[in-house]
Amino acid sequence: MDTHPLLQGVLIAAQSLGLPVLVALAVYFLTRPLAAGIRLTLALLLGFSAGWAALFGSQASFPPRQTLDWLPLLAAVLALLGLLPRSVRQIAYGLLLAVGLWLFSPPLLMRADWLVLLGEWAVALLVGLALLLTVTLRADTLRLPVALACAFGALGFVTSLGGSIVIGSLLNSGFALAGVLWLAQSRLPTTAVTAASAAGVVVWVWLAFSARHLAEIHPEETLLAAAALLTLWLPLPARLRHLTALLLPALPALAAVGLAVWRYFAAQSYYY
Amino acid sequence: MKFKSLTLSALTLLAGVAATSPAALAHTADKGTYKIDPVHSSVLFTVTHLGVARFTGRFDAISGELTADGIGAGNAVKVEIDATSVNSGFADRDKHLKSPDFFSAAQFPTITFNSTEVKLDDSGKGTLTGDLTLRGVTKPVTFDLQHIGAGQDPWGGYRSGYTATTTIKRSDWGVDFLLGGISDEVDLVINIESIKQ
Repeated sequence: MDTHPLLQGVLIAAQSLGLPVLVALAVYFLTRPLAAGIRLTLALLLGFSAGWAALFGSQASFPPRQTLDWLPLLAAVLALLGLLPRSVRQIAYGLLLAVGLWLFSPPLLMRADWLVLLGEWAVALLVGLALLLTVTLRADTLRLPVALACAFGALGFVTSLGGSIVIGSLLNSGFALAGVLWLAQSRLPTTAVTAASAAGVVVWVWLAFSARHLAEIHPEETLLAAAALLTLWLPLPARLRHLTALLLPALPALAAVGLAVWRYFAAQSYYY
Repeated sequence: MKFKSLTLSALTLLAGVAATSPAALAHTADKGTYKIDPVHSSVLFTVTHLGVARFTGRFDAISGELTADGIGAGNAVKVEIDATSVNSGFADRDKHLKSPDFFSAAQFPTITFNSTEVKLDDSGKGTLTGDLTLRGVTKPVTFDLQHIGAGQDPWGGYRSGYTATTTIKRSDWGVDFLLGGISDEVDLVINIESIKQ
């Protein structure tokens, strides 16, 4: 059934932002008897899966035919790995990141040889591992969700504007769920917030890799969005700690958005 | 005098071309195998935008071959379209069309059509039925087929041309994003000029 054009944008926003948040909050409150970490993991997994199903489900198939078909399956495995002890969990996340990047590689293989594929895969893996290490070592529950939201939100905007609304909207779902994590972080143990943030980083890297190879998103904007996470290494001043925690990751995120907007107007296409 | 000589030369050239032009009304091509001439063939798609206007785009790279058997059962068509060659006359829109929102061209770079049945009558009209594979999904589709003409070309070859038209629902192939702004129904026109091998 055709949706009225005027409602299309509202529908996509509801599918990518509203639905994941509603599902995540509902799951979080309905699973009260469970441990906080498990509740959070379930809430984020089902919230993300709901957004994916609403945005991409009608095009998806099982067994996976398109690379994006893998996302909910990989996210489910990621959620399971989140229940592992911390020492093992980081290695498991890294391995799954590598496997996921490989599963997202076919579009690259269609137009490049194996050497290029291996090079791109290795670079994405190294960047991903560096971001994972950052989130794990800088386990600041106040800053993690904000940095994650900035990384997801910036790349979501950039991808929606300049390549693919589907991938951009999936990134926007990550942005919305990082918001849920931010709301819940004060009531959650640090380990749960860190594990969820690390899982978020893995999903971000998969989507960034897809945005690059399926939607031709420029690496400059991607790296600027990644820099939002790298700001976790910067110290926060004792005064205005909350404000600085928000501003620091927002700066590279805004730079990524600004660069995409500049490209959009410089091209004088005004496509949307 | 010079003008007269030039005019005569031009008339001679035109007469030569006319003598070797394809027999435009020949509705039965010579039997044999033909290769699609990508320079003189085109694949056009037309959608309705925002419910108010029709918009046509094209694919610039097409290849394939035909087997002509007159009005017999041996007719066959095989067409390959490079999905990355989509051209809507607007670079940013082409980029969007190539994304997973539509053709997902990086992962599915080739759109194929393989005929299963070609029916042509004496007047050169008929139907072309086959499997259209788009974005990794294969579905049967039937085109209205018209044989435009066949005959010798000025370079000693033999050519035959067809036009195939149909309307498909893009959602049948999983291309169902932005159905509100861009119609589900897509009119397809495939103009083929082929060279006998």
